[in-house]
Amino acid sequence: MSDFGASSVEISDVTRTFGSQRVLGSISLSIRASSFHCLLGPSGCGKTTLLRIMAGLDTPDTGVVTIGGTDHSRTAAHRRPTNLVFQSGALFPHLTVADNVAFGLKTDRRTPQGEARSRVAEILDLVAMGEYADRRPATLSGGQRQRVAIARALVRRPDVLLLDEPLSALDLALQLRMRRELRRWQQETGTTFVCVTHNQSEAMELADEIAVMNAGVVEQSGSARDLYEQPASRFVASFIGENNIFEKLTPMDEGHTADGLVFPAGRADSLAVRPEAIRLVPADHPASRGPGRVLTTSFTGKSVRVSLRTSTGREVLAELAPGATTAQAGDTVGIDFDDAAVRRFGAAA
Amino acid sequence: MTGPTEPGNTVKRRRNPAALLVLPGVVYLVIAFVAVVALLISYSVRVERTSVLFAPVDLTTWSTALGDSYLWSTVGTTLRLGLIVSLITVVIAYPLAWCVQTMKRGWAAAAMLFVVFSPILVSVVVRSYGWQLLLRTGGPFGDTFDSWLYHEPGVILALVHVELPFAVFPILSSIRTIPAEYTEAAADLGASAAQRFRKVLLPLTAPGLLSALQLVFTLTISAFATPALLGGGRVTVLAQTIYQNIQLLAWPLAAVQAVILLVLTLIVLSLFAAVTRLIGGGVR
Repeated sequence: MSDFGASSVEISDVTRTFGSQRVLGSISLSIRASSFHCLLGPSGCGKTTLLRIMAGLDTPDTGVVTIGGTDHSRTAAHRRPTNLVFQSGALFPHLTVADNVAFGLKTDRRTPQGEARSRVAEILDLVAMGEYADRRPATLSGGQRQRVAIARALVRRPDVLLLDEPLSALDLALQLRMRRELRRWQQETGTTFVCVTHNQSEAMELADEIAVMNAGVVEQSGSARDLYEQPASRFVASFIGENNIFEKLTPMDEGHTADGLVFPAGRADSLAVRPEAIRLVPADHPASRGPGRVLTTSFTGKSVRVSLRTSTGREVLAELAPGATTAQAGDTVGIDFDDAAVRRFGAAA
Repeated sequence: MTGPTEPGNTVKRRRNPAALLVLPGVVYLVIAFVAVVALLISYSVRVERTSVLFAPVDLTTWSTALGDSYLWSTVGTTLRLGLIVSLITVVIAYPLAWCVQTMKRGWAAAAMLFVVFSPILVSVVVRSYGWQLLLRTGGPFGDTFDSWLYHEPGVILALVHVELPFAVFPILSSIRTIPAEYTEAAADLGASAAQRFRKVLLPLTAPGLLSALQLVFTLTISAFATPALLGGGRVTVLAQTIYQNIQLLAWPLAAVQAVILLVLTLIVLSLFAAVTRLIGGGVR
């Protein structure tokens, strides 16, 4: 599809305080034009505030928001080249689907009526809601309402489409389907999509790039693969995918230990090993880094998940190929992994 | 097989015990409204007050009353006052309600609500004499408003004052049902402040506006004390002529006028109900 806008977004040193609470502490972030960028983080991390600052619905205390090379830090929401999809959809209850979508074209009066009508029809077709044009929002399902909300924002052909947890109100099956559709709409329009979510699998499936936020700062920004394989902090390691986190690396006579397992020497406050990097060996095997008692085993189809407890009581999750182990609950086995699989965080000085 | 186990049956048989709570209210309304209206209608078809309950029907009072131009001018004054007062009141109440809603401090909003509701805390007689003191020559405003006292503007001023709370309340409750997201979404979609008001807020608060209009109009056309005290005999509304006729022992004529007032009220109420359905029908 032609005529859709796409701009980069540059956020520099943006801070925001509500009362005495610092919601955003100096955020800097680059979002490439035509990319799908997710802001991922737990609730209360400031991701929605950052999105609302991009939309112009909130004003940063300090810092600059540049959209497509133009400083928009102080531009009112209704004059920005962005459009926002609200978590609830926020469809106007007194207007039909078609009138909701046409709302943003009538406000600027620059779009001739005939063109507005064809653009509304085109965008409703894109989100597969064409046959519902004359319905009221109250008669639509949650998924249909969200499609209309996205169409209403996209029809204005914004340079940047902002989405605030657009799928979180939907049931899981619908979420999975709409993830693929969101990705497709982004590719077909070529518009820059910035999507806030607390769901890491959603972010990994949707985004070209993910900014992981925690407590008002961006912990790490990168592709899903970067974040999974090279997490820059303990928070990112535990938030993206599953991870076994070990604390307190202590030097001993033979190597260093943490939580009853032997690690290669070095300094770290915490260490992370992915479940799929863990191997189970006989308890007396020389490669064993320490004993683990099997608590449960479960078969998921693609893998066998074994949960173990180390001698210090730390729970460890191992994800093995089906048939890679015969361990049963109650057995004691040896826990093994490659040195290269260990990620270290916060090396103490 | 039908029996107590069938869900449809048991549901029908079990009465909602809460329904009993409605009984006192229903009995009270039936006595106060239905009985009085029946009595009114029966009086209106007599020529004089009589203790005979089933006297023969006589339409003389009706034909005299309907042919009386004074009655029609009174009806005109009543309707005009109703229309003017309800429009002014709602126009003032609407921004007031928004103001209360958007006040960030709880105590300020509470103080504002107290000010709005203060007129109904003061007795109608005290309030009316208060207005007389304010408007009369030599009052605090000199003779600026002298011409208003004992004329329609004075009556309108006092009626708007006392009926303001009845307009603020329904408007405020309709405003409270609108999530802030609607206004934000409108702004995000390019609507200026004026467009946000016209295209989103006004249509969504229209049901509250209409019920405010309806309430104030009904209260105004049946108002008695305020027009009597501030109209100084020059502004005569239907309620006053009814009172005067009862004083003159012309009960059948008073009854005819009361029935006319009731019919006017019902017509206006059903007009408003029709408009509300037309506007609000699609919202829910």
